[in-house]
Amino acid sequence: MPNGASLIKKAAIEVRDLCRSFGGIPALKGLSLAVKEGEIFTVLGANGSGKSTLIRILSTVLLPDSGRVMVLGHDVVRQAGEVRRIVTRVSVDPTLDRQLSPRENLAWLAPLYRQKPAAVIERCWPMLRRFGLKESDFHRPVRYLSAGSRQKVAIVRALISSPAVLVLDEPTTGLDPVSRQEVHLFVRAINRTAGVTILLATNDLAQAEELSDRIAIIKDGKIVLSGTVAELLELGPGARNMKEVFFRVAGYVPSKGDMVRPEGFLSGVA
Amino acid sequence: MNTPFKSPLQEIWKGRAFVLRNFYMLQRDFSWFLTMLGDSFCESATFILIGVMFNDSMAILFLALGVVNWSFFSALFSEIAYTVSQERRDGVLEETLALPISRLSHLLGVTVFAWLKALLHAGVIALGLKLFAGLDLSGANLAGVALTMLLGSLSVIGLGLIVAAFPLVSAERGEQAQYTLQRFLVLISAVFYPVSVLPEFLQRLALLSPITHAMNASRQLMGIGVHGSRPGALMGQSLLSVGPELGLMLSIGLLSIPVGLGLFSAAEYWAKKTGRLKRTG
Repeated sequence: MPNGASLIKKAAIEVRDLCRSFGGIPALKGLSLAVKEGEIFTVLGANGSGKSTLIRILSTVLLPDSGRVMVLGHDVVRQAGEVRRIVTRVSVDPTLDRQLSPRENLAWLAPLYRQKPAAVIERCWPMLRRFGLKESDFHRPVRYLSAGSRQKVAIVRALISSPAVLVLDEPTTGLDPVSRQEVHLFVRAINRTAGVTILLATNDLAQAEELSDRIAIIKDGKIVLSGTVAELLELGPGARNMKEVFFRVAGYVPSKGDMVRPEGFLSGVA
Repeated sequence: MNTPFKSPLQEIWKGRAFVLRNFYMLQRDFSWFLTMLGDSFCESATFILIGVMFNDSMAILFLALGVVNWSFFSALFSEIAYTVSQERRDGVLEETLALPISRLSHLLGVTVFAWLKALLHAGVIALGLKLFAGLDLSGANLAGVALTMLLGSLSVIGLGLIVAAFPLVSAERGEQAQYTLQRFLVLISAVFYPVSVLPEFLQRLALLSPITHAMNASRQLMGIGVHGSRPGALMGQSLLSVGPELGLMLSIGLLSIPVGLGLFSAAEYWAKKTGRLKRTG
């Protein structure tokens, strides 16, 4: 008979009162959130809202000023080594060695995870082929590949470690709609079949709505709203979609666009 | 989920990932490696011709020894010292430092590759110069010279680790400091001249460089400066006679490596605390 406690999904990621500033300018102001094991949790916010800062702290490349971050029970500051074994990050700019081919980028990581390079290639190449990567591109330096192809390689590379937690920082920036949809399907498949907990940071409202089990809207370094899509829609009376929740309820107010006066701006142009 | 390695040896063994990575990089940039090797050889030959100009075979040997040693030590130093700068320029520094590997294993992998590459570099230069200058090394204690270079490499590795930390503290200034230190090292290490040629205030600094002691030992082992020694009949000295120099190099190495690792870890902590890992300037 399963233990009742084990039926409750425990937090894969717990963030409490997280603060981080850069040169006196606060990027995170007491941010708190909890991500359940096995869910796709999206942190949604505009540029400069603190999403990437949160991601960098989670992947142990940035230290917080204060607050606590735990990943599967490990503190990201005091137990950074353990956290690095659990968490894999995919950045907005695919950070691959550009002189090396996708094959080489995958192969050299193998010893870090007690695997042989050939075994890693055997596992990853079929995935990349299904993603539409040509065999010639698999052996060509990454700098010659399109942004979409590079990002796909980066995502597949993240899976070599069989991470318990995958952190995606705007993974579909610059991708065309087809590539974006392929990444969405792939991310969902990783989550549903392997139970990988996914923390997605994005400013793409549609992506958040499509992929997430739960969403937290971040603004000025703090979570202003969080919940499932249905719960967020209920928060704003008459809010029909995430766009309206984002702008009306969360408080993001775009400028009216009248700061540029056409006649003054264009004067002097031949 | 990625399971932890069971023993410290297994953790260290992970460092071979960086040997593999750098090997792939070398393969991809092999034409550049050959270009720099050619450049290095031409520069080395230029030094040898100074000895030829004075028609002095011992001077030729003196300069050739300096060239081979400096080829090895500078290649080793550069490969380690510039590892952070290079990764930052390639935009992969954060990713590398986020990998599940201890800093010791990571830097060990970088060092092993650096050592092998430096050996290849110096070996090609040495062979080329042997053919170019046609020196007869009979009587030289070449095994002793090889051991000296090995012990000297420990201290150079330690220096390289210390200097590798600089760009973590300041991206631009750190790189400038690295380059300046490397040039200063060749000046004070009396690679191409005896220490006595240096101005007095630099002679004191020369004692701090492990390469100075490696050069002193290598010259004695080659029979340079030994009365009656000449190419074809060199009077290479025994290892015992250079014991003090070897002891000094070993001590500097045993001290500088843990200091380098500690400094690197401290600089990494500082960079993460101040958010400087992402900065390019």
